[in-house]
Amino acid sequence: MDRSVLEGDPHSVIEAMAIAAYAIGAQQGYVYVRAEYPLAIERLNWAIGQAREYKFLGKNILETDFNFDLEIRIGAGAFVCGEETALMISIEGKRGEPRPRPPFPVVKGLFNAPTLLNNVETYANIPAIINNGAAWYAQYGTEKSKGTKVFALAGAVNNTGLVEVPMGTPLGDIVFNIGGGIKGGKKYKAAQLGGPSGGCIPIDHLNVPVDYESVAELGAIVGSGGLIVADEDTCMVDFARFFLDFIQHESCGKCPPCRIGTKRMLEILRRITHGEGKPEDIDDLIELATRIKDSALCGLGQTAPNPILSTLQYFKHEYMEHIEDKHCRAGVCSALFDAPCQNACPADQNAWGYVTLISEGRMKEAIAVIKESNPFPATLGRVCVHPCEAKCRRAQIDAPISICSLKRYAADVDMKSHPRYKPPVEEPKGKKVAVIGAGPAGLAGAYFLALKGYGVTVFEALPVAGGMLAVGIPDYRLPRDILESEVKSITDLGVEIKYNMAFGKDITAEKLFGEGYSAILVATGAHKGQKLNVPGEETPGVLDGVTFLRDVNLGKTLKVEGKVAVIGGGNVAIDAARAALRLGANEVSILYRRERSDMPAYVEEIDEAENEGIAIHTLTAPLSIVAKGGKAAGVECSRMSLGKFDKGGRRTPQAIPGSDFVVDADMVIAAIGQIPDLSWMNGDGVKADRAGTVEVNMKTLATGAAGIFAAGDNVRGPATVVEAVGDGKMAAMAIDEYLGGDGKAPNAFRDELVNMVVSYDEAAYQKELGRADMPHLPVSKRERNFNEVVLGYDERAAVEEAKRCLHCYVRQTE
Amino acid sequence: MMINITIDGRPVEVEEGTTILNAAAKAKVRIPTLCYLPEVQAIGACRVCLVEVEGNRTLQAACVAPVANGQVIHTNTERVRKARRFSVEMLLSNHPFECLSCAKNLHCDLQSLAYDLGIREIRFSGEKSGGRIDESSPSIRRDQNKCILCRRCVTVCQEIQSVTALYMQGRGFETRVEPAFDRDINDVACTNCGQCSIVCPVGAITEKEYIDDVWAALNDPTKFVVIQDAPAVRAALGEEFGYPPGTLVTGKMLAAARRLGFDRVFDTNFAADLTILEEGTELLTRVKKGGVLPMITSCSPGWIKFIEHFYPELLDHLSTCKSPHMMLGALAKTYFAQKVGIDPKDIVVVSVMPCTAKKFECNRPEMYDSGYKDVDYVLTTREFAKMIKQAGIDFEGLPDESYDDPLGEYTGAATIFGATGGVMEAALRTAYEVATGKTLESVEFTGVRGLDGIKEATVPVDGIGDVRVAVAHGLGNARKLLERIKKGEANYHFIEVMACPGGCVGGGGQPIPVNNEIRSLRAQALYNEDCALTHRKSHDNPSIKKIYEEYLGQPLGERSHHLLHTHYTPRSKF
Repeated sequence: MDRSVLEGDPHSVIEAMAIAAYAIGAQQGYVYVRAEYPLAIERLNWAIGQAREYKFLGKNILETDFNFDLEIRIGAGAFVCGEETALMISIEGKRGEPRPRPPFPVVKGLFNAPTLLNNVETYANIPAIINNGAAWYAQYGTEKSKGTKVFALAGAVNNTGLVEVPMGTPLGDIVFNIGGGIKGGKKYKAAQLGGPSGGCIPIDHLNVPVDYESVAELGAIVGSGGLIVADEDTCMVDFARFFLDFIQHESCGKCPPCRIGTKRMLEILRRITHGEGKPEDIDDLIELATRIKDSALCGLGQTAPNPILSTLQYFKHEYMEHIEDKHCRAGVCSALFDAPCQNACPADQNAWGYVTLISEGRMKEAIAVIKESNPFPATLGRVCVHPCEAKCRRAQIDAPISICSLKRYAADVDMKSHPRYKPPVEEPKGKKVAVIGAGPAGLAGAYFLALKGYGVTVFEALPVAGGMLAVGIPDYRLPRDILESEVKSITDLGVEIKYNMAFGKDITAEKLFGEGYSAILVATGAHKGQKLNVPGEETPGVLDGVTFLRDVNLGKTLKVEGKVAVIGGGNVAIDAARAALRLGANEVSILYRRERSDMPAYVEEIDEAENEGIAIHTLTAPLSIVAKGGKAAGVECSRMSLGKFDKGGRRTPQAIPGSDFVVDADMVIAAIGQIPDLSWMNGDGVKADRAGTVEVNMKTLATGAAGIFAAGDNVRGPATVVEAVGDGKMAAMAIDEYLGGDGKAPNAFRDELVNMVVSYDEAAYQKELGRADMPHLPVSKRERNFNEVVLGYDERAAVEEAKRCLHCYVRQTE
Repeated sequence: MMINITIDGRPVEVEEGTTILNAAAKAKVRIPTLCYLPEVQAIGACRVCLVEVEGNRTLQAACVAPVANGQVIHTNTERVRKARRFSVEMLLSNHPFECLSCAKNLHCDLQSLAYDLGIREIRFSGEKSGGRIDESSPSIRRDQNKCILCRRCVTVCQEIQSVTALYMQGRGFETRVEPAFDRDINDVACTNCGQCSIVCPVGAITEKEYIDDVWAALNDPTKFVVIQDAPAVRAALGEEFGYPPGTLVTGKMLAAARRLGFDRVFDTNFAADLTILEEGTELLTRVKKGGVLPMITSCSPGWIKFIEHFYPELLDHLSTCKSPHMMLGALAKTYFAQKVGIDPKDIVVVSVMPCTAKKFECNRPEMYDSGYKDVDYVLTTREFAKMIKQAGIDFEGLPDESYDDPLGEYTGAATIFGATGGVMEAALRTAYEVATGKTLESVEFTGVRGLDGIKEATVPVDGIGDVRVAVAHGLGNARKLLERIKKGEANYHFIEVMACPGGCVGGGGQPIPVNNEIRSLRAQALYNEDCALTHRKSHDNPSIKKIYEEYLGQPLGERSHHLLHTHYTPRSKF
């Protein structure tokens, strides 16, 4: 920002320096500018020339006996020359290195003379303050941090550039209002304040007023005003490594703590980001950082550990993931995975493998790769939230590969073939495992246990299999026959499903162990709708989303009449709204208390709901249910405004007083969340945690009771299908290990796939081309039916789409 | 003004402006240091002398931080101990653990610091910044793997010697001490003075060792190996065997040389007396015949290379005399060889010198006037001590022995060559008497003694008038004099220059450490010997008279000219 002041208004700096020189009795001033800023140098030179011409510089300024002149000193641009003693030494023509203080520059500075040293931005404020008075300046900012500050806003925000804000402006306002939020709708992770030796501020502190004291309290600094926004695609370990790498190269090399200490820290970070981290690395980093801070010679060294200390303070879990799980959640540390798509998948699907196989037309092999880690490809090919695509490198050229749809294609091809692909099953282990719940987590667990050679029985409370897939997701998204076919592929492996068996009632853990089951996997999901907690909630005509969808899917509700109001912004809300519309509702509206971009439902689903004519009222929250004749007649709502940021980084809605209005509704569906029904717990062993979910070791999904594991929504709360499948797989492997097996998930194809020679057209590969869209059922054909809306690829489209893959799993070999 | 401070709970009264380090010393508190070197460098770089000052957020480097009235200082807190250890641990994490085979084993500051700080494990490891071994110079060896970047060498080279052959290069972990553009030290304007090897706290800069070559010569039955030693050696060698600085160990040194197997033990002092005769005559000739004045001494090869690099236009001011050991080498392979009837090709001359530059000097192409290499090997005082230790000689138990004829007799004038001002004083003693034909009342010219950087004196000499002389030691001081000569402001007849601070007693090949106190003690030993000798004027040396009678003829005569004088080579500054 100093550069832009010099380029835009060099006179302000000249005037300020003359005033400052007059104040302290200096005769000579120097402006130290990096050689990389030729325009700033050129313009400052002009301005100095003009100032001399007007006698604002030189001898007898303004016909007084005050003499002062300015000289530009062009520096080589070493970062350390921002340290005042190094800067002065550099002006003196020597190697830019700091020296210990005292003596301080005001006592003994440049050429051993008392020296006033400030940065350009500070000086640029002086003329305005002199002109308008101190009170004028002090009206901006906070009690202790007066005035304004220029920030160089950069990173993952939509609007980057220099922004000047009053001191004390909340960080979230800078990022989301001025910065326009995060690019590509990604999630904010942290802001790095104060340049490479600053610190980061995580999502739960978006309300922090950006002033010197508040920012320092969080371990960052205002510093030179660098503000880099990191989103979910930023690995905080790599982030720290990046800054430290810079600092290490910019260390002047004078003192061992900075010269060698930062190198040692960097080596540890490199190790961690390469998957070679050790648990003791964290302690070593903290020790190194603490000592360097305490013993380095200058500010650069003393603040060099900040990126590490700060990321360790807020993102230690990311360090631990790298070290213990060899996992980089952001998909940045490429040594830890083959490709970012697979890395992003909770079920560890080898997406790059099957995409590559599809691009070669090898569909049978593709399904084999898919089925190694996913028993529900046709289902997930339709309803997956596909985190893989969010990390797809192809997006850097145009748009990510349609990984999800390609899976659907391969799965649909398999479903139509005879015989269908059947994964290899290990030798029978002679042990039985019971699975509670035939949802995606339970069935995935059953599938992988079966592949490992266990006899598996699934106990399901409902009369159908599939859990939320069956009773939550409507048919137009996931046709029933597709789900049934996938369930069948699991039972074909020998898995038995017993229906109408409620855990805790019809069957208990004790009984199962008594019947010879060696382990139990509890995957009972989260099927209990959350209450609105508004007056009138018990009025007939008010029901919760999961109940409504269950009744629809089980054929208990065949018709809906009149107006329907759905409260909530998640997938259940959208599904309920679209289902209601299909069952004959005249008018369906969705009431959501935040903004549309805050809705947790899949964007495609929201779009389709709107396409189908569903009205979405955002910033609208229910106050009470309006009843007429003992039946629901509407929802009294309040308009909301968004206030402070909550811990999750979303602004908290608050009611606008006097904005109440009524939305007419004959039926009110509350879809504001689900919680697991843990009524089966009997107090021994398996415990619930504070969030109302089953308490487990998240690495093994083992509960407190020996032999009992838990997976899916009853562990996580309402989550995605692919997380449930991933959980089922993880639990199955943990059970295998618990029962004496190797606990290794099937992974037969990886090595061959990594080395597979692919034929692709280099030119096409480089060319920008959007992803192939799948055909959709026209809106007019969706009325009053539950026919599938999204239609799949044909073979040509699938192969073409798969060919867009950049094969980023291919490593350059040395 | 005296101020009051508290160090580790004890009140101390010190002069304002004193560093915390010195204040602590006054309070009998020892603060460890590493990059700090009194008289050379105080930069607070190594972070070993950190202390905690109440009210200061950061720890302070005691070597540079001045005390302030009322200050409360803690030198032994947990925080301080951890910080000091950390810096040393960092250095160790980047250090090759070759201690047992290092030239500085058991004489290494880093080694003793690690011991003192109680470092029992190397907690951190990783890449080592490494660096090269620069063997390009015949005088010094630089092993950059061992460098800890304390910068003492850089400072001594730049600020004391004004040479700047070494400087900091690169940044971050790649920071290193190297000549400009990472050139070989022998390819830049290095004077080989070896002051860097004196101040190096570790084994990164050492003299280039020729010990094995000398052993080989001694073991060769066909070789007749002659040794000579400079006066400064005998005043310092004892330090390597536990004697206090300033102990003259001449007799034991000679006994040791014989036990090492040297066939003759000669004294460079003999040649120093000869130098006075030649140089004094040269000076008188220049004065009388209007030659280039001021004339400047030429005994210090570091100084010679300095003027060749930086002031080649002033080379005419140099005396043409070779340095004494080169004169002796030339005579050993001519005069002595003839006298004893040995083929000079079988004579090996080994010089034990306080100097690293003489290793370069003996390899100069100008130094083959005997028809052979006049001096074959130069060992430093340190190397000679190592040979004695290698041979298992009980130095302390040795008897006192004396020099061999015919190149072993010397005067007090010769022996004071080893201290700054000594050559000047010796020259004045002879020049005065030769010029005036009178006997000096007092032979001691104390005005040219001592450690002032530049010393001046005026000596009235009948028939000539006032002879104005100046003495500089340390190349930074020499540079000042040369600048004055260039500007025509140096109205001297004769100038003595020694490359090393303190003269040869502080030479780059001397036992470590060297500081002003030690320089003074060593010099005093030489002045004491001077007092004790019968002959204190070079022209009174009977052997000198004899060699002129038997061989050389007269000073500046044809044979002298051929064997004892030389010429110089202009060199580039870069």
